Amino acid sequence: MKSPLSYSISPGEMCLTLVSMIVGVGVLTLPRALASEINLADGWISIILAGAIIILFIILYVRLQQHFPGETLLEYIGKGKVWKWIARGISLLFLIYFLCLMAYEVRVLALLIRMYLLDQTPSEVIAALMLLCTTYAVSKGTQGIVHLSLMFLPIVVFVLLGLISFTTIKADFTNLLPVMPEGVLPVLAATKVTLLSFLGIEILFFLMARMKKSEIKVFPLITGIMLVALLYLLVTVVTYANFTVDTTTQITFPTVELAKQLEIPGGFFERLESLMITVWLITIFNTISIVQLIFVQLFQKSFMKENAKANYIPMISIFFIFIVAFIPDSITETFMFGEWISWLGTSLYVFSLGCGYLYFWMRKKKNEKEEYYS
Amino acid sequence: MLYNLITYIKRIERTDNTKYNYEVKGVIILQEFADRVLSFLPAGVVFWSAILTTIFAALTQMFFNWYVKKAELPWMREENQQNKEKFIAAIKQQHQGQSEKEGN
Repeated sequence: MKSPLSYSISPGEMCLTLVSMIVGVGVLTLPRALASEINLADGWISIILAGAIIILFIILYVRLQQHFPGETLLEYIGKGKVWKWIARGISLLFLIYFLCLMAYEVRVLALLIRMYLLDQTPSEVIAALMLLCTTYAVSKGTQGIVHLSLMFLPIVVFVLLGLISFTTIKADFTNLLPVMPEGVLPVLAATKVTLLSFLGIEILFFLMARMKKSEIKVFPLITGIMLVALLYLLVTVVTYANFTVDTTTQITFPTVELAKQLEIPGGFFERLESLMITVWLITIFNTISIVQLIFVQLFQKSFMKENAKANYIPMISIFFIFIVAFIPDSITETFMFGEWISWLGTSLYVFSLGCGYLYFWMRKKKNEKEEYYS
Repeated sequence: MLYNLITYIKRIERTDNTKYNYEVKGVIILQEFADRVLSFLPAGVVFWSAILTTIFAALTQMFFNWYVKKAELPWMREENQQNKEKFIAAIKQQHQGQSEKEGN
């Protein structure tokens, strides 16, 4: 057995963990968010555009990470005297962001399960059970969480592809026409919404420190993003083809409703949305456990002494996640909360990346000066 | 100021002649203040659920840690596994050295 201390994430594992992280709650609501934003069927074009932008972001970060293997971005930035405080500030913002993200995922999960599976069970119980499970997963460390992602992702992708392929039987693809009737501007406007659905790439700032220098490559990560983009694209296209754009704007979870439409030839199985939600539980569990792990590690590194015990941080985090999760009063408020979190995440990603490049450039200049004078 | 507030809370005013309606003005002020500042917080049941879940998780972990410590055998310990790997690597090197000498 490999010792957990010597564990390093391989490129393939990193790719699949990234996919597990990104495909969370987003895919359940993306078709509605796109349809509401532009009221046209052109959302699928914006998914391709957003995918390309995210790939660019990832290339930029991986290039930077290659200069400091074995360290997280914040550890790298935190080496400077003034930069140490900037890194601490960013860490604090990331902690708030991760806490809110977990709370949002838990709340949507509770809503989803109350709506489609267990309508008599209180939301608090559902949230508590999920948080207990993720906390146990976090106790297994990075290796455990990465391997859970590897184990669950194929099941999720298989079910999603099955759902898509079976619902194309009744789909009317003329609902997607005409393409770009109002020009390019609505597509660009929708790209904003789609970009938020790709959020989750910030885990690279923290998990890539666990990769060996020779294994820090862009290609596997790009493959992962392309897989996510393909899944999003297929789900959106099939949803519009089944429900039309106008109807999609009225449905809270279009992807689950799509599963309700599902008819397997022969009529052996019915009510497949329950199966779909059950599988989706796994995805949300994956996302929350990855985020909770990073939350715990970041807290430990940034705000605790080296020898201090960090065993009880996941437990304490449960309390705060729980409280934040139930602050929104309704579904509308929950989704608005989700939008704020997405903006916070995007801003943090861009800001941290910018800081990373600035610090790298300043250090390079300093080294050049020192070499010149010596 | 705090003293005034406490005495204000303690002073019970009779506001209605027909029935005794106990109104504590200080409490009302505090309630209004709390409503304005803390009204975004979720209901009490959420607090209790959060506290109970946290306690349950902490107790489970304490029990689990205790159990793992009790059931751990020497070879399972991290430092012993590392020592084992070092030991195996050293033996391998010795064997390689011997076979190279024999080959020469």
